[in-house]
Amino acid sequence: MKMNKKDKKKEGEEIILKIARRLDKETLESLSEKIKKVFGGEEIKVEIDESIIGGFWAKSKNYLIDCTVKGALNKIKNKVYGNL
Amino acid sequence: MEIYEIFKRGIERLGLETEKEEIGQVVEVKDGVARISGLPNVENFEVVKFERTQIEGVILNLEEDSVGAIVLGDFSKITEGDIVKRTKKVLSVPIGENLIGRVIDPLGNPLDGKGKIRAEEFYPLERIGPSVIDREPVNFPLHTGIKLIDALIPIGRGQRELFLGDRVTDKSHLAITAILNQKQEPKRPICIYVAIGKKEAEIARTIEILEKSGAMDYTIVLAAPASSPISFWYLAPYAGCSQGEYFMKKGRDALVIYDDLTKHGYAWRQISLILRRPPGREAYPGDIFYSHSRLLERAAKLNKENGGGSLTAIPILEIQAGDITAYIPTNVISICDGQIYFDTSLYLKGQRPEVNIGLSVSRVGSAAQTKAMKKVAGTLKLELAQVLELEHFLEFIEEVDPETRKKLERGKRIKEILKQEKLSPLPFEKEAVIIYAGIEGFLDEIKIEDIQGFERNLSETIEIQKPEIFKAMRDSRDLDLTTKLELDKVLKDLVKKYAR
Repeated sequence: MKMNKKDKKKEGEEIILKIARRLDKETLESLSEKIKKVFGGEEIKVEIDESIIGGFWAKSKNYLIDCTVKGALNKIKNKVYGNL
Repeated sequence: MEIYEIFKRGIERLGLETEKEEIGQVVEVKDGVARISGLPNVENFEVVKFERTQIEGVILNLEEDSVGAIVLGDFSKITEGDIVKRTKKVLSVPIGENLIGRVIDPLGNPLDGKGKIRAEEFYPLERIGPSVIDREPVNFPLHTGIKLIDALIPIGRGQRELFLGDRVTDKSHLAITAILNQKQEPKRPICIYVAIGKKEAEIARTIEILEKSGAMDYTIVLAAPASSPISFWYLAPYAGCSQGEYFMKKGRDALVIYDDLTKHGYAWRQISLILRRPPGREAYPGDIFYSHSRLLERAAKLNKENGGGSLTAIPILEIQAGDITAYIPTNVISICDGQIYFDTSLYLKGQRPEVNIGLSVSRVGSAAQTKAMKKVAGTLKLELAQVLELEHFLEFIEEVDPETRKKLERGKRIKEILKQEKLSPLPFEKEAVIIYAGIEGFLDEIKIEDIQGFERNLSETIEIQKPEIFKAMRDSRDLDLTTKLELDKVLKDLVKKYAR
């Protein structure tokens, strides 16, 4: 299915935020604000993903911030053992 | 507490700081080529990493909404939606002395099971060739050890000489003979054999030949076998060229054999079609000429200010039904400084090497010959051409005058001395003496079937009785008057034994 320009724009602006467990309202709001500032987007879709263990993972169409425990462990694994 | 501190310091050193990374997502992947959306600032030829599988790719196509990348690994593991990250590194290969004697893939990974290779430097795969100002004319021979080539179609260091012929002809073996011959050369070049799309068994046989003859001491084998991803076929010649460039920049000589560029053309056609580039003649992309010209332009003879090194390129092309006017052959012929055409009909007649002299040429010519070879082979091409014309003319005529008969007989003998078995290179002084014997008419009295034996006997006799002849020729690269007189004496004595 071909997307129109409006859909494309919307998709570009949407940010997905993954966290390991539910956060209190204040923390989530302050985190969302910071992420919006960094990515320049407007909408944030929050997802709970326990597999990231801790921290957060935010992604827009063209950018990504991986600040998760899983990501850090993977980086250590890759640096120590290479791409096994 | 102490262990905790050690771990902490170790992890800090790994540099795990989180940053905003530029990413893309796989839209589709087929036959080793992935289309990725996103990555707005990625550069051409930049390496990207597929995050889930840690497989790398190289960007080849930049479009408005997406980019195209060739996958440097098992593309079947990549799925739609996979996240792709920039590495901000242009595709490079490890280079250096440590690679000599090794078998590697186009990314520099060892394939010979001899352990990791410690690179001295990393060179980008794509590079612009040296400018005209940095070059000097090709003036030093690259002896192939093949009489016919060294005498009639000489190759110089820094030259680009194309080998082309049908599938049955022995193009690869002749190129390998040239590598084997470098063992006996005084200023030995480093050889790089690039196998593109060849069967693994065939590559293994080539390596065995090189190892048995001791040629691996100065050779790097870069293999992109038929079973490897298509991206490897495409990258292999550029990687081989980078290996050679390292030695050229160090002021040394290098010889790169691309075996063969037909497969490289197929690979680039396949990648381009998947990238949806508009197909042109024979479905090749519009930049197929550029893909070969930018590769072969990197071969050069540098001037003294730039170290004086050289990079000689021998690309091989497989043609169909002897058609040298096909698209890729005409392209590469126009890029190179000459071509050697391997003729199927000569092969079937049993002539070895099956080189068609009329259709072969070296645009560097005698500038790439030693003085000795220039002296003995100066008139060889003309004489052979005359004989071939006469043979053609006299095909249906029985009686000829004695003068013409003599010319024809000498021509037959010269053709006989130019015959040579594959993988048995000859040092230049041995080549020169037998050609001298043929041109000067010493062989006129010898039966054609005895000529091969005479040639072997002549070399042995000089080596045992008059080694100073070969020594003088090797040292001076010339055939001076004293040596010539000595050689005449040896030839006369030996001819008496063989004369009818």
